[in-house]
Amino acid sequence: MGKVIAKKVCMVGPFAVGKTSLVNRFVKSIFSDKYLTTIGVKISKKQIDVNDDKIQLMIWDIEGVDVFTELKPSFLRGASGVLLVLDGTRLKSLDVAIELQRVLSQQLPGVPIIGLLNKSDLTYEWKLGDSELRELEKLGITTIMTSAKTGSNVEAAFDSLVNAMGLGPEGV
Amino acid sequence: MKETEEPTSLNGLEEKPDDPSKAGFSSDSSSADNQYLKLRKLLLGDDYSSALNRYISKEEDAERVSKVLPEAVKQSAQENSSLGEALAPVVDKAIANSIVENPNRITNIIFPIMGPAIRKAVAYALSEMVQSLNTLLEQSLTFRSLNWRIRAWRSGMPYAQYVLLQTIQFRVEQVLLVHRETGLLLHSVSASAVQTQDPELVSSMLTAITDFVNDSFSSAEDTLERIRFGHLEIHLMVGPQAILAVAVRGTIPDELTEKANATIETIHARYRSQLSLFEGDREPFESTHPILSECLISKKVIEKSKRKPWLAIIVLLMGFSFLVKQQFERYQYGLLCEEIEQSIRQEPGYVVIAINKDKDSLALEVLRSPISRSADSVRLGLVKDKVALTIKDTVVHFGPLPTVAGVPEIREIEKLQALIDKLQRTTFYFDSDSVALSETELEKIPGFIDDLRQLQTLYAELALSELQIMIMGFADKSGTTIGNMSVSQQRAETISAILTKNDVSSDIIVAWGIGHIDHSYISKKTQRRVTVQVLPKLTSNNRIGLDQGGLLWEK
Repeated sequence: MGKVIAKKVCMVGPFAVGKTSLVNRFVKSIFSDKYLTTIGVKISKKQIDVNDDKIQLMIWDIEGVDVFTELKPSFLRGASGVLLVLDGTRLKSLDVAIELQRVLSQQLPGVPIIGLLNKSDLTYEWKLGDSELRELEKLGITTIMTSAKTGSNVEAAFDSLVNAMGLGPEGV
Repeated sequence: MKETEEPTSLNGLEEKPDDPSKAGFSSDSSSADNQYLKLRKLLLGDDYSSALNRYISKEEDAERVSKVLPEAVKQSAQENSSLGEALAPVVDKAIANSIVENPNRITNIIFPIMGPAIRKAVAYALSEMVQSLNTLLEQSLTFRSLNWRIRAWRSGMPYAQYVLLQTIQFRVEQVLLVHRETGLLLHSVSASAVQTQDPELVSSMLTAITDFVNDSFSSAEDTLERIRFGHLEIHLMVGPQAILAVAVRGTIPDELTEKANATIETIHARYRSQLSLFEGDREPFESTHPILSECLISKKVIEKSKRKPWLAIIVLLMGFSFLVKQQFERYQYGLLCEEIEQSIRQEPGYVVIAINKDKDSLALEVLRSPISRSADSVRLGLVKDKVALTIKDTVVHFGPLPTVAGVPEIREIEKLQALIDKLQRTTFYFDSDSVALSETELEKIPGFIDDLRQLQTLYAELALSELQIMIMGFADKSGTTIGNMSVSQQRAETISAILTKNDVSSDIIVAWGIGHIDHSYISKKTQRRVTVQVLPKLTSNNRIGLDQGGLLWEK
């Protein structure tokens, strides 16, 4: 009989990159075109099975940040993993992500961060090139292209976060 | 390895005192004292003087102990509590002495702690008071409060106490133990038959809310203590590593707050290491179930003894019986009305044309024939106390309605009557034993015939039936009855003959001898006479004439 292990993970990123959409896709398998800005934090729960164990992810979907709003560090406290979400069609979101990475490494030292390049379905508007990806890799962020709209790579993104947290099938 | 190390260390120990002893032995060799000294030196070596000093003074001891004391205390505290127990009276005494010696010092130290603590306590007490005052005000103007006031007065209890007794009502619906750092749920219990949200999400949200509030008001020391949502209040007992959230419906009593505080303290004491090592595995906290369950207390308002509401039952019964009685009376009244109606319908000569039934009166409109009983007598025969009966009757003639060509005018009818009177007043007198009219009596004839003709014309004008005239002859007392009959017959016929001679149709004349009928006081001359009577011939036409004229053919 496996154990149930609860973990807190955070979704962070600039505003309107699709953090809530990713969570909705992952937890409820739905996608809505409507943009509703998250205020404060929205918490969802998703249980995934890894080997015999059940990993219960408490996903803290934290409001998007921009130049005017800062990431509230208290929401990050106790997180075991972070999904740093970027908008692949907005170059500016890269700058915010780099700034966020700095805050994260201060607040959550040693906590794995997976970078999600969201909106991969919008191929014609895609802006992030190899040089930008290399910049992220330099900061120690593995990146995955995702699309909350099509659902592409969403499960894989959470799975790789769980792996990075040392709870994946390989980790046990 | 150990076995090989030990011998070397032993060798080392033996060698060390050897070298100095050899040196000492070579310098002093004369006296026995010296020899004794030498022996001591041989045994104790160079450390002799310091060992002696150590023995006499305790300076070095203190120095040595001071080096190991903190470590020793730490070790002892980890192993058992005997050191703490041993130190407690000493520390107590020390603190007491210190306070006695210099009270200002302790005041200065605890002032920054006491200030906020007192403020917090006062604020809490005030908020509690305001809350209870609110509740009291809310309840002071309702029917229930009046009821309570009366009950309190009857039971000889102060109202406030009674209200407290009635209103302390609460139920702990859910108790959550939350890991403070991650906001993850450690364990939760909920009251039976209570719908609760997913405790894992709730615990995370609670942490998020607490963080949000703390961030918003940027107060690191204070924590969110209660969240009120309608009648649900969530109390947060924040410990250094875990938060106990107690969701309570109703007014929270002090005892529950105390209980919750004690629970979070117990949990911290028992699960200190598990809490600090928490990595998402909830299993070690399953055993908190009994402690958390102890917080699931509830208090209900004392159930009122289920007395039968006699007053209400009596009032209801009275109302019901009144209704039944009224319905029964109405039914009876209906029957009575029907009975009266039936008997009026069966009354000969009555036709009911309208019925007006009211709550307590019955009004009938009837048509009745002239020969039937009058409405009043019918009513008197029927009337019952309970029904005010009125009968509006109209007398009508039944049968085929007459067709009338014209209606005689009143004036013409009067004229007719006058003529008839005049004719009937005319009397013809006869001489004794005579059947012929004397000269003077003959003079009455022309006027008489004239009047009779006028009457005939009037009859024709008014379309009345044919006129008949009865001529009656009378005789006086003298003579036999048969003779008198004969004489009187002849006298009538004399007049009849005269009339016939004057063109009066013999069809309308009836001559009749009556004989002697008068009393003796009437003069004999008057007894010998002929009188005239005008007879109407009764037909249906005449009947109308009678009714409409009102006086003409009454008999």
